[in-house]
Amino acid sequence: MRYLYLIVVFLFVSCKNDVENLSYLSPYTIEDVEMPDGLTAEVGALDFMPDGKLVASFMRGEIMIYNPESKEWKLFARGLHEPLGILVEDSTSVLVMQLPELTRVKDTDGDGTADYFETVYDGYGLTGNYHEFTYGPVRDSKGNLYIALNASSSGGGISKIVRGKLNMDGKSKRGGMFSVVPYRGWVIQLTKQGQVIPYASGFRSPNGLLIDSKDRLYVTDNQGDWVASSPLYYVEKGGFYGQPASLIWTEGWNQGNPFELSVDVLDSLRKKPMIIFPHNVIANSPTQPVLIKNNDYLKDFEGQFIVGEMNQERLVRVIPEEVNGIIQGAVTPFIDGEGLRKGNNRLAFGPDGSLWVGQSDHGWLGDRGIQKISFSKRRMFDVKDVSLLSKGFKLTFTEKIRNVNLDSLVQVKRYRYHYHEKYGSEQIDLHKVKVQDILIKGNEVFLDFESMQKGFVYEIQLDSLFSKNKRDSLHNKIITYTVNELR
Amino acid sequence: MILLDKRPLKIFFQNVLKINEWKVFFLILCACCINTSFLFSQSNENKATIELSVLPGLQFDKVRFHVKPKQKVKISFTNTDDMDHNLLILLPGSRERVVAKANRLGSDGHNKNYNPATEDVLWALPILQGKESKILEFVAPDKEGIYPYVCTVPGHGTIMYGAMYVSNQASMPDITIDGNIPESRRTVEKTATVAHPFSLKPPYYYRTYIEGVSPAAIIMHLPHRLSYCWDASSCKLVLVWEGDFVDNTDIWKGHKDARSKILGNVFYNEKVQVPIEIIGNNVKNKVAFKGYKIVKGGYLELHYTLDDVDIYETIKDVEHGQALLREFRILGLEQNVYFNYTATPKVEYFYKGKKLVGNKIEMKAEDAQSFSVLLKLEK
Repeated sequence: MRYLYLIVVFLFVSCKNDVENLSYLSPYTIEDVEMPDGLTAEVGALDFMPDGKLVASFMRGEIMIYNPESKEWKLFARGLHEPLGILVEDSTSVLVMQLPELTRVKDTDGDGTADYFETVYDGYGLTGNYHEFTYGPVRDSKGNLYIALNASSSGGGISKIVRGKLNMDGKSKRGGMFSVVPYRGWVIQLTKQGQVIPYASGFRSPNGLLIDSKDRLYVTDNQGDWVASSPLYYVEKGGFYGQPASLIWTEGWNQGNPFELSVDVLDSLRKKPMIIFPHNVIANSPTQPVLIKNNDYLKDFEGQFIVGEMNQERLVRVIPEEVNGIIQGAVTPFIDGEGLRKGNNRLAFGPDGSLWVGQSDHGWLGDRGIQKISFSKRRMFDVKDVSLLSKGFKLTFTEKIRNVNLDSLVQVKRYRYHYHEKYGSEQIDLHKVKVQDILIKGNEVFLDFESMQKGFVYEIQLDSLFSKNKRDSLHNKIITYTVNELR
Repeated sequence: MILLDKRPLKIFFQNVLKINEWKVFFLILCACCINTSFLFSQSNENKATIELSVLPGLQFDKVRFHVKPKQKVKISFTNTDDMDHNLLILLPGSRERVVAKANRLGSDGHNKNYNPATEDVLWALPILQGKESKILEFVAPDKEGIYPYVCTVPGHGTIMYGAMYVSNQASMPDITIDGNIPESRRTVEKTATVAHPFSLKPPYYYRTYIEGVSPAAIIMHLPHRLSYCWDASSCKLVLVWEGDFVDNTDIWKGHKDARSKILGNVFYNEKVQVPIEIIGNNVKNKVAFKGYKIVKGGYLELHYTLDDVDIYETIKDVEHGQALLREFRILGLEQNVYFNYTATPKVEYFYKGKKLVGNKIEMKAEDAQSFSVLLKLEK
């Protein structure tokens, strides 16, 4: 009899859990796209054709077209050299950023496969180093294109025969990424009129470009030498973003090897990240950002970016904010696990609002293949917006908050990073931030601090936050905000 | 009792007559006799059947297997690659020696199936072309040991090999530390079995890194076992080779410096600055790559400009792979040009049916608007 009682209690407990779980239905589903036999599905790029078909490129040089309705793959082109970018022009033509050049790949005879490969731009240098990846193109509303060129890796060398003018000043005697042929480590603008403009320098491994609806350019970079923790940069013409090698290709550069300049000088030259993705907290290798725009399922996040992450089963969401004319903002996980793989190298929104994620490893940490994330009208209970206050933050959530007291549920700390030649940086000047007051007003939470300091990342950890109606816990529980400018 | 399938048996006897390999013959005769008695005494002993095929990047799909001494072995070898491969089973420790001897067979190698006359070779299958299958049956040596198997087609033997473990105990060392198999296979990971989601039927091409050429290389494999490399930086044909195409295994791994490895024999290496040179004052002869079209037959029509003149070059193999046809179209040409080439032993250039001498020929503007030259390999 005693046992029966225990069983009844047990059943009651499990039912209760089930109820909680049911109310925690995921607002999206992740499905694996079946890939063609024989394909090594290291995804280099994704985009959509006007008719809704997916175009994908792969590291062994294939470009393939997928019909989401019939679920069939068709070969469009082959033989390309590490194609890491695709921009669809029209139903027969795509721009492909491959290692040696930007190429227009076109089907001129209407048989569904490309037969014309027109070199659009190959005016940059190549040394044969394995790390000379090329990214983009993205296009602004005026029709200008932007591409980014990876610096060369000290993990490899250079060939006897290179393309472009060789200048060994672009290499540090102490190692690290280098730029000994033109424009390695640069973002290049190709104007609609055909001009080539070296646009911004200081990049290390800029594996992701985005143009927002105001024609602003954003570029991600990867942690390493001179890059303390992976950043997102708001890129402006003429800017230098921190990795010194590329400086030698600045017009009129007369200061020799930029690695011989003092760290203070370099620090004064550089533009700081708009957002830092704290290493081991948010992302370790961010990839392509995509803009959330007119998406019926993601209205709460309009104007924000989703960014891929190579090293974890994660996508993150960037919440930009302009403070006194400076663009900065917050970042929080968007999807964490739940069937998502690692190696999230490329992202593209489908015409139906679904998000397609292409994965790669190519000798690094990652996975292979393509996954489709379909959203439902069910809202995720998540942070919708983050605003900097003069001494604190205002967090806006997608739903009203049930909790009446958050005092023990919010933890805040702040830290910053070194700017130095060493690979990566630990968090320095780490302090716990005392939250003096927490005010809950509907779906808003006001955090009040004693003071606020520039140049720090503020990390806000939330726990057991519940929405008023659905009783479900907050989807993602960590938010970091990079404070470059005070309110 | 059939020791070998018909062709190797024939080759074997030819070899015996030619090169006096009585020792091997004797050894096999002994093995045969021993095995016969063995069969009578233990007729329930199983035959070891090994299915062997080829993975991309010069590797056997199985890099090791185990048999017992004196066990009957049947190897069913299918060449699932687009390159030629043979199969030799060798005495322990002799692989590098045999591979070197096979390489030294030189131009005679193909006729001899790259099977050098040496007692190190125990059993062999001749060259199998793509999709061909053959069976090799033999009785495993009575002496325990690690017997290498290898493909000795030139360039293959240093990486395309495996190990037959002959021992009474059915144990093999941990694969990750097994020094008898290629380094790339000392892993428990599975290797992809095909290179692409389509079959590779020449002509086909890659843009890639390749040794001795700028990093903007275009390489193409032609239908009759000729291949070329055209450099998109200097806008010219730079290498021509015969035999197999390239091994992309390393370059496809990523995350380290690597090149596509040429598998054939390079017989033409262009040294001239510009193959087509405009004659005149104020001529810079500056090139710019413009792209290419895939034309009839799957060939590439490569396009570049020389100063402001558009030049198109299409390269095909003709005369059953004995010659390379270079077809040029030059638009809006007003001046005379030189066609420059590198004088190379065993290579002859022909223009309008005539053999060229020296290293250049002058052409009148009207002749050069559309012309072709033949690059022939002297046999």
